[in-house]
Amino acid sequence: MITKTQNSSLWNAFRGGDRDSFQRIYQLYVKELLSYGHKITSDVQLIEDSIHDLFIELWQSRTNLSETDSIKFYLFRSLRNKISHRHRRDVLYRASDVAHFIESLDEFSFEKQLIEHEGQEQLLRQLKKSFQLLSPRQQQALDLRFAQHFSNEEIAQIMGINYQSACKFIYSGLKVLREAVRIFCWGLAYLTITC
Amino acid sequence: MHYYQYNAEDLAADDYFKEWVCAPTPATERFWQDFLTDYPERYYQVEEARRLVVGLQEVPRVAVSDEQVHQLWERIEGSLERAKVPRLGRWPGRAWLAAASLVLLLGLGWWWQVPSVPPLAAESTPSSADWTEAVNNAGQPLEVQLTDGSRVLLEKNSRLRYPRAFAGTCRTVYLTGEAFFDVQKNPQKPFLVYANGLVTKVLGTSFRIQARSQDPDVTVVVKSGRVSVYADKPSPTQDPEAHGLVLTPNQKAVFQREQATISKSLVEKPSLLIPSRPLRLFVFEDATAAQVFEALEKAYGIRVVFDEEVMKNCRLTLNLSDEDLYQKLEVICKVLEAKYKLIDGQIILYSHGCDT
Repeated sequence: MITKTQNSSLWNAFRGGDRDSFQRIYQLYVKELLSYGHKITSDVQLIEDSIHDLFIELWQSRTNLSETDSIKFYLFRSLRNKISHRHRRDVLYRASDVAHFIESLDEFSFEKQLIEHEGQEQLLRQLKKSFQLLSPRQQQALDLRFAQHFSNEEIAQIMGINYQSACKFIYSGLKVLREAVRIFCWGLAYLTITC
Repeated sequence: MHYYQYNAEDLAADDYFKEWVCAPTPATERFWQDFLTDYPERYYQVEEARRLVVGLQEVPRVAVSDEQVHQLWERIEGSLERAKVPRLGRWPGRAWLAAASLVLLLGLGWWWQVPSVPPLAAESTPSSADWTEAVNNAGQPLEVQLTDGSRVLLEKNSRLRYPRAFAGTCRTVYLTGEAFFDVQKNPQKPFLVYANGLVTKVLGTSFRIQARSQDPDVTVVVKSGRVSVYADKPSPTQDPEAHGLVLTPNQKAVFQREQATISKSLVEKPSLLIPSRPLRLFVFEDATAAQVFEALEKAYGIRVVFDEEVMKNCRLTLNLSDEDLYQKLEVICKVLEAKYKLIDGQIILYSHGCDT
């Protein structure tokens, strides 16, 4: 993570036309942006095109940009706008979700859950499976909140929804995921095996 | 509402709780430990919430390959280059023409039917289609000719991704496996090889890279010219190249992928750089140590560090034309009762001096 001062001096150098700072901004955030893009659409080409356009516009309009102490917030919000703007034509919003869902159900056998119950890695795998069962918007909100560390207010702005909805997506997502990490449930699994 | 009434998802959604899990401070640490001491029955809620917060820092992330990152950057740079050249400059002088055409356009109603092309879509041309991949699964090395005139000798079970044409300010390729590069000189466009987290940057030279995906390290061996190597780790404040190394002929760099550290040493069999016959003859008659070491430096392109003051009385009469570098050093050290070490790709001599 980088500090706020570094952040704004990097941003100011970029606004002043420094190409190296521009490239550094790209390198610092592009992986997170690509990863976030996957939460909005499964169309990789669309994600890449949007990030491409985002950075081209960023460079071309650099002199008109205002000061910011969160480049990341700016980039995430712009990317969301870009993707959903291009996306509007697609009637089936993330159609692959259905296939995804069925696939995960298949893997999600209770037997497996019983056998492999130990360790942090297993916990993550479990959580990942449940995460994929969430709706795209729940996934997006949780990604922004826990992996990208945005505030609820920022999340609402990035996703273009109101504050209450942002909180609702996060909370409802957590409620589902809690089952994957439930301690009581695991204790029960131990019992079932020993009996 | 008091934290006592919070269930696991309430806690996980709470800013103060998240802060404690992600970046604990003495104050938050004390607060939550006290909370657990006071209300041990809330342990499960706290632990489950902690698991959620820890897990969710990782779970939503989608793995993104370095290759994708660099290709996309090349594409952006390519578009910026193209956007820059034709548009600026000419425009002001022809403003009247533009105005005239605008009037003309407005007059012609049918123009409305021409679909408007978004300017950015037109620029987003160099996509994955402009890249190609050479894969060598045969037993023989495969020669790949790049458009800039550079040649790559791709060893077996290796892959090289390269653009059909080098756009942008750099010539970038991606290697998995092992290859020998003979790069065409072009100081305006550095040649960059990305291999397993290591970047090798050159202007024009020849070198070998070993970057097998199953190996824990990447090796770069320089045959001619100068090569700069550095870890592929972007930083907001520093140029990653500043943390790299510069290699000269007969030196090699080993990059430990896990720790992302680079070390420099000499190749196993340093080869002579000077092709001309007379200079290859290491025949010395009553030569000073400085003369001998200078000859070695020149012939192998390797720095020899010694104390000129201590060794000022050392004189050598030797014929070392047939020996390789290490044999030469053995003989010289035996004669001078000295020792040598290889440190950081250089030869360091330890001597007590010679009697007159």
